[in-house]
Amino acid sequence: MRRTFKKGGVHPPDMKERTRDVPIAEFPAPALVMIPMAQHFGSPALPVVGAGDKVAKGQLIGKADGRMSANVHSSVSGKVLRLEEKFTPQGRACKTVVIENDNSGIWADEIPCGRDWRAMSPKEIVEAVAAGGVVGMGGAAFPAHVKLEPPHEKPIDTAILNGVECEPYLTIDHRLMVERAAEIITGLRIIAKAVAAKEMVVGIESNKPEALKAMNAAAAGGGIRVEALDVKYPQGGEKQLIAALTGREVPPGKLPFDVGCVVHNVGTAWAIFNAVAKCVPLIERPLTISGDAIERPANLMVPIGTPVGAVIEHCGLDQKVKKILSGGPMMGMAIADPTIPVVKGMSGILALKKVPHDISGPCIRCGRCIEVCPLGGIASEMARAIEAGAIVDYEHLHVFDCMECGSCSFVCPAGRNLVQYVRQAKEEASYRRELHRKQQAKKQI
Amino acid sequence: MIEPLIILGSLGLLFGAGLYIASRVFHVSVDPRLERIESALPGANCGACGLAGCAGFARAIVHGSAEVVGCIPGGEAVSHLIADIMGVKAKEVDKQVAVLHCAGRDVADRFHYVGMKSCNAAALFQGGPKSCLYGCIRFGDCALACPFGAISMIDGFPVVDEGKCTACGKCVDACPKDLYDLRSLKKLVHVACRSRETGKATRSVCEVGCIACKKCETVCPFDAVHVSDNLAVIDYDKCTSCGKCVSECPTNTIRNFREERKAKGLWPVKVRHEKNV
Amino acid sequence: MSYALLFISIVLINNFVLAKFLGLCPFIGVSRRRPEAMGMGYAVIFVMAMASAVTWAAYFYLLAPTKANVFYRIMGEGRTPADFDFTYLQTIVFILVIATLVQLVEMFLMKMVPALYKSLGIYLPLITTNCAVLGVALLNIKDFSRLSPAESFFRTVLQGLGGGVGFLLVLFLMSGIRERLDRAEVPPALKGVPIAFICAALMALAFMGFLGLVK
Repeated sequence: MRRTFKKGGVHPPDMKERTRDVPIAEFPAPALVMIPMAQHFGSPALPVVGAGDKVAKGQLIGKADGRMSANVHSSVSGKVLRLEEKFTPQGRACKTVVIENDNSGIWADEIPCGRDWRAMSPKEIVEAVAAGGVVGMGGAAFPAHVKLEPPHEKPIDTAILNGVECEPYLTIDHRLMVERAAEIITGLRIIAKAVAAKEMVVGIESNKPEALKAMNAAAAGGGIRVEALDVKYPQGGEKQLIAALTGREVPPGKLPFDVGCVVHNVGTAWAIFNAVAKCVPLIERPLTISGDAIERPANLMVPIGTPVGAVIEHCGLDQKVKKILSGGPMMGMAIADPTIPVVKGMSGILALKKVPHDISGPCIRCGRCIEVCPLGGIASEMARAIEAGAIVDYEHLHVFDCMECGSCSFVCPAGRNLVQYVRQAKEEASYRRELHRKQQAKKQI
Repeated sequence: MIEPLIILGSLGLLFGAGLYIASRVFHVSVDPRLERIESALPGANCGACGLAGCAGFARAIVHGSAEVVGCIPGGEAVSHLIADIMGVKAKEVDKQVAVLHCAGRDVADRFHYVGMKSCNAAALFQGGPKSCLYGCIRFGDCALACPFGAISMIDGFPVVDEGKCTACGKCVDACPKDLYDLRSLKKLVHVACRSRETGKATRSVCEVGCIACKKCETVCPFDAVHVSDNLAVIDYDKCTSCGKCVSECPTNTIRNFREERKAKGLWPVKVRHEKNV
Repeated sequence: MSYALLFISIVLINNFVLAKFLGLCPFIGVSRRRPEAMGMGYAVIFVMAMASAVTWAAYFYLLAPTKANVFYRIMGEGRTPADFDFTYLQTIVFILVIATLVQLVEMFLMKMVPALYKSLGIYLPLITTNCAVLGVALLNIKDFSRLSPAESFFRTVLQGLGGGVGFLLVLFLMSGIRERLDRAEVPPALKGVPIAFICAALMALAFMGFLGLVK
């Protein structure tokens, strides 16, 4: 029997057949790109260009603000029109650089380059990854260089590549593994060198036989284990993947570092390869465009900052569309506005004719959300607490451990928007914490 | 028949004497003012003073670490009571009320929002469903947060009952769009808009939004209104509530609260004279 | 063995709140929040045990027709202990004794152990004339007054202690339920105390199940 994680999980219909065999095509850069400064987890980058500046493809336009941040580069060559506040697919507004494309496609100096990553020290690798503005491409957009620098007291023995792609509809990691297996495997070797990990594992769900074949071929004889895992959502979660591949459990509030693991998405490995071996920063990303309201489902390589509307138009949109999502149907966010740009952490665009949870009723206490939670959380209670405004309870309900995988909302027979409740609880709890801290400070005076 | 009398009588005497002696032996001095202040406070435990409930506030006053006028819901009356108890002179208390800086009742939705009916939750998602990103989302988080029932949702839009409002500031905290301000009841003229969009953009989504035409700025004899960042903002230190800008405003964004407050008997504001203690 | 049985029986089977329906006012009044319920519960254990001991002494030395009766010793020449049977006064005397005791303890704690007073003291006045405390005193007399003095004293204190523990247990359970009730969608007419009473009734039914524990 193939391995998987033990606790919770669901089996949504995988819907991948629409784009599984469609090769990744280039999406032509649009006339206007809008590149947000906050595409990653952490503090937004600081813009280093102003209106009227000429920029080249791959030129730095936003500088990382501290360690927990990431560089942002121009995805086209052209002229900066303006800087404006704009919403990102994550739902919040941030500074966005609007660039007019001159279609010359001129690269910035020294890009691309050819350098030998084997000759680079771990520190140089981390610097190259940070310079390239690489972030986690699985969805969370965690700055990749942070995950390549484990603290000294926590030695890493296993570097894991996440090729699970457990979200329904999405096939982009799958296509990437089929078409760029060699680059991804090199990316994994770079990662393993940076964190000094001895063991290298690739986890792929067994519903992707082609990807397994391609990765096995690319990894042959290199000390890399490519493992086929049983299909279960959310296996692509870091903690679930570690549990499935190594049997180690990451305790609540801890990181994969704490159990000697580091996990990167296959897309991130590919981006790391580009940044380290070719000096190419993360300025385009592969996307799956799918869903029943898309006429020509596709896998596309799209420049960062392209308006979502342009990409959808390229693939044809059915008029009966009800909802457009950034990311998969389980964890994705709805998109309200076609001018919202494609960002580094976006793994797909879905257009659907049906909205799953249109009405949300009261909890019927069936307990299914508790059964399926991969982290052993109690979503129904969290929702109840936020509804009643019982802020005291958030701490002991562990809202901050929730990764918002959406399994609970998926199974809820009452159609409750449980993830939204939890997200709201997190927001509220951090606000209360801050308030409490201020009051304590006031008391001491 | 005499025995029960003896038993109960002697027990009563004995215990009474015992308690008397004990109360002397175990005497602990408690500041009597503490109890009096506590009974003078409203007892809502709303936390507007920034301390842990009314008891905490009373303790802080006796300690001297809080002002006698610190109780906002209690207002003038309570401040004077406390000042009497503490034997200090109360400063004049300026009664404040919450003012809503939005009048966009007819702003349409940008998209169909499904999910939690809460302004805060909706605002997290691309600024909420309303076309105006600065305006009221109309799910009523402020009305829920108000401990005094002073905010009610009338036709789905919040309305402040200034008679009930105690300026505790809960609505200011609750509103994700930061639409509430606490203002002196004496100030009658307010800008009912927070939109920083350009005039054209504001006009396209809202009939009564500030279009930054600067007419108010020109007409103000006291240099109290200024348009900055596409929004008229009143400097309340200079504003005399003369109402000139109100009649000049083409979109009816700047509003005069005089008539409304008069009707409720809140205007003119009664100023209580201080007594020397 | 019989002591353990006595203890279990008074905690679970003959629970003061759920089987005898005594002490319902603090049970409903102080069960809204867990910390307060715990504080109240500890105070009740303390007072019940103390009151049991003191009322036993009052009964044995002042009211009961025995040779140890103080009045018999003083004025008993030529009369039998049966002449000094004042047991009909027990209710009044017990109230007097318990009230005084609690007052004394409160004053003592306030002066000598302020830390304990802060967590326990504020609940003491609430228990002064609590029916559960008087109830345990009267019950002790009914159950154990025919035993030998040493035996009856020991059982009295044990029963007082157990009664308090049972009270704490039920109060703690109830406060947990009520904290959750605050967050539940209860029909408006039942909000607050009414739904709490319904829960109390259901808990009483559940506790009836302990009847089969002994015998």
